[in-house]
Amino acid sequence: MHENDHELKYSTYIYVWLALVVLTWVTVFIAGLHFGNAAVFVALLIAAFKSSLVFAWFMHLKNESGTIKWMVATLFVVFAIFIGITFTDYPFR
Amino acid sequence: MSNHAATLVAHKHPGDVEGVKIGMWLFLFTEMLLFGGLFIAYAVYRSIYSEAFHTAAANLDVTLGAVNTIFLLTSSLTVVLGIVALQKGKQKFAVLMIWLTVLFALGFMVNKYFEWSVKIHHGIYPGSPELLASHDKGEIVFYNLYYTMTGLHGLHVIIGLVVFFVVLYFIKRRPVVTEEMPFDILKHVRGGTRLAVLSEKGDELGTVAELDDKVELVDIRLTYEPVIEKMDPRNIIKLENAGLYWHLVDVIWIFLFPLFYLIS
Amino acid sequence: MSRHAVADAVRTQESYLDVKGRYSGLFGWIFSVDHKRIGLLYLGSVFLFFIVGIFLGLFMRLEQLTMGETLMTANMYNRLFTLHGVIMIFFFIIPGIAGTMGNFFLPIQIGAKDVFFPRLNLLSWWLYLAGAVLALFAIFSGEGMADTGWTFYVPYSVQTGTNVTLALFAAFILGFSSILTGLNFIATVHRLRAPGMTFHRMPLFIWSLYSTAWIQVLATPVVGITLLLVILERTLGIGIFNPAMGGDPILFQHLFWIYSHPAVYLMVLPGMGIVSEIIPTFCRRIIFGYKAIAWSSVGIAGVGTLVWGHHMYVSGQSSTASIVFSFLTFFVAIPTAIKVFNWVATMYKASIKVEVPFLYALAFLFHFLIGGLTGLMNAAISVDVHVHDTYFIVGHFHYTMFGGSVFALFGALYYWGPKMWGKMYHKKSAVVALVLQLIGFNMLYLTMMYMGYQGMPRRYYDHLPQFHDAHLVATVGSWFLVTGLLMMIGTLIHSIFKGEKAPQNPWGGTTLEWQVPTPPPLENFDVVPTITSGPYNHKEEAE
Ligand code: HEM
Repeated sequence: MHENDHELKYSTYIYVWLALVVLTWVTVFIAGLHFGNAAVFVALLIAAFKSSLVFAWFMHLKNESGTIKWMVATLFVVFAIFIGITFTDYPFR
Repeated sequence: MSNHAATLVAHKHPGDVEGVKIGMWLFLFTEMLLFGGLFIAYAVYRSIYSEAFHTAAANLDVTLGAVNTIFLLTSSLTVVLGIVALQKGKQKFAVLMIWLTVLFALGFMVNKYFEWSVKIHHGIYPGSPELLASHDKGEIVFYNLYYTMTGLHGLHVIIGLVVFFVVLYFIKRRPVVTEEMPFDILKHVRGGTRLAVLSEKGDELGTVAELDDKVELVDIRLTYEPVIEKMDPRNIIKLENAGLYWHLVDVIWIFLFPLFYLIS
Repeated sequence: MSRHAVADAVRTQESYLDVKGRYSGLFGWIFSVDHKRIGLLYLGSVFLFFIVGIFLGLFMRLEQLTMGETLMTANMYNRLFTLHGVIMIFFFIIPGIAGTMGNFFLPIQIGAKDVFFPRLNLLSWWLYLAGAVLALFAIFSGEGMADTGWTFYVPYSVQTGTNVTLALFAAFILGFSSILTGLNFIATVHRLRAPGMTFHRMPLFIWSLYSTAWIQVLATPVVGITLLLVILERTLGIGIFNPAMGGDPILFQHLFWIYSHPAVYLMVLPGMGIVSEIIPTFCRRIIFGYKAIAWSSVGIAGVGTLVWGHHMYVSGQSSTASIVFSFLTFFVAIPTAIKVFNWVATMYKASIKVEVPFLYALAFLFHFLIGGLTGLMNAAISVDVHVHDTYFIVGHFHYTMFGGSVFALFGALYYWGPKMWGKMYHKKSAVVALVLQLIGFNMLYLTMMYMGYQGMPRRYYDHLPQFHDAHLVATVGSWFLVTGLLMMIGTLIHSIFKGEKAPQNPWGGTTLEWQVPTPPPLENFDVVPTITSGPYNHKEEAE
């Protein structure tokens, strides 16, 4: 909440936004190349990267306490496990 | 009447903000997992019908999707700029940024509206006879998921809009903090509160205990110490939390966009 | 200033029951943000539902007293077990411990004046109420109560004409209420612990609530969206689970159990927390293996989220999945057994003071052992294929949920009741009620397990002749059980109105709630205590 908590600069956020826009362009461009299944993988990778930018800067996760970071990490681990275990079923039917 | 007009300054424990943040993040977790269930469904069905998903995705307009992505990304930017502005005490600019956010969000919805109405016009909507008759099952699943996930996302955009209006209302109604509170309020101040008596100029007059001996009668006003240029810190917290919610809506779209538009 | 200070000191000692707030009378309760009043609000409401649920169970047992259709049609029976299941799960046991005992004692036990978000806390009770009203609508409007079973499996839940949509919506809202409680507890535990109250100095009840809260926050949304999808299919025809539209009905079961399996740990963990409080108090010694019990709560919550597929061995999921789930399920036994060993080790050679709460803790142990070990049997695929959807399962989960968590809750009512309303109970009638409950409970559910193993299917309103004698025994058991339950409720109500005044610390407990007046003042503590040692410091006191 205080001045020193996170730097009060507009420019940082504008750079992040620029990066996000460029990445959007990249992902659309790559999708146009028709890589097949690999394309989905790449698209998801870019999406993950984009969202981590949003998390870290726009949502200030970068500056949050260790507790909150741990909590977010737990969330993603749990979600990954949900998906992972669900996939012990479908591919083996 | 009163000998001194003293101001009793309550300095809130910064830990409180951390707690509010924890609460907000936990709430975001539940939102993420609400969509998470749908993402699991998406993953399962894509693994079963990967061909059909490719065919069906070709019918979605990548340009519209990309424009909407840019809209949301930009609106996310304007929110954070608004927060920074509020922290710097630039209230007018902050309000402008929030309005811009609202504008982009509305743009997103208008775009979405056209996209959906074109689809529905072509007979592609859940349960439509045309869809059921002429497409294979995988494509039907694709559209069902498409409508459910973008629909739920759209609902969140609308909720976000409402939240921003609420924040705007609060900023307008109570831009600065100089609330007078009955002395009684002291009882309710959380642990970790630092109390000091200041003169009008801001010099410390003494501790509360010493007050007893020196002063006979005081007008006591309890205010929160203004953080920056007397902006109400509660407004900043409100905007920050609204922003967190809004960024989450953005993040979900960041995933929806490639999963529906870019897999053809 | 000094005059104020004196006045405050007098006022803060005033019991939270006597404090005059902004409103008085009923409004003083339903608009109060005091965690203690909200705890009692929850207690009143969940027990109202519990009593309704008890009578639904009793009616089902009465139908089984005879062969053929006597009291009710098959369809009526279906609606009864659905309503019974929905009430007992969503309205009673999920909010049953966290909402009541948790709300009341979590802040006190960590030395806080309230939960972190007091108003959100009140909102969660109001949401509970809203869910209850919706459920009432679901019963008395349209085609009446759903007949799907509390699990709402598709495709039947989409096809039946009964009021599934409203019932699902009620469950959805209750889920939201439960999430808010969990969120509040996590924030409270992280931010409002008294100085010196490190995580490893927290009472074990708090550990169990904390683990539970994470399940509430992380798993509930998944079932929320699942129920929403069924609603969407019923109202808008978006058939995500509909095979005719390429959907997979088994996916519903996956998503449903991703929540609902962890939910059974959400029900039992707080019960285990209560037992971990009661045992050291009445054994008057430090609990054996504090850290092991504390972390095993986290372990149960963690492993518990990985095992949902053991409800689906016969559903058509892949056999790979079944094997993985079976394997993982056995692991839950480890942290659970750790707890049981530590409780027993605490009792070993202790100078035990036998009081009613302690007897309930023992009843918990006894039932939970049976429930837990039969759970291990079910975890084995070959056994489960045999007993799936039989009374064996019904017996098993009543042993864990009812014999386990609910008996723990009863124990808590006797243990903490004196603190909550400041009155002691009549010991003799409490003991008689317990004995009746024990006889009835085991007559009913042990017999059910036995029948199930012989092949009696669950969710049938009728039975074959070879099961008749056993059904007779079970039904008579249910009469004992219900008598015991009503007697217990009577004893508690009597204690509230006519009981002797309770002392500050009737049991010689060492946790913080015993160091505040009975009943506690509005803000719990005059001076927030500083904690210098673990929670069960009985040794020091003896000196
Ligand atoms: C006096 C107390 C109780 C009696 C007499 C009773 C009796 C029954 C009976 C007869 C059934 C139906 C069995 C069948 O035909 O499938 C049943 C089902 C069930 N009971 Fe109870 N029960 C009692 C208490 C409880 C409690 C305390 C809980 C939970 C905490 C509970 C949870 C359930 C659930 C979840 C079902 C399954 C409903 C379904 O199949 O959808 N019961 N109970």
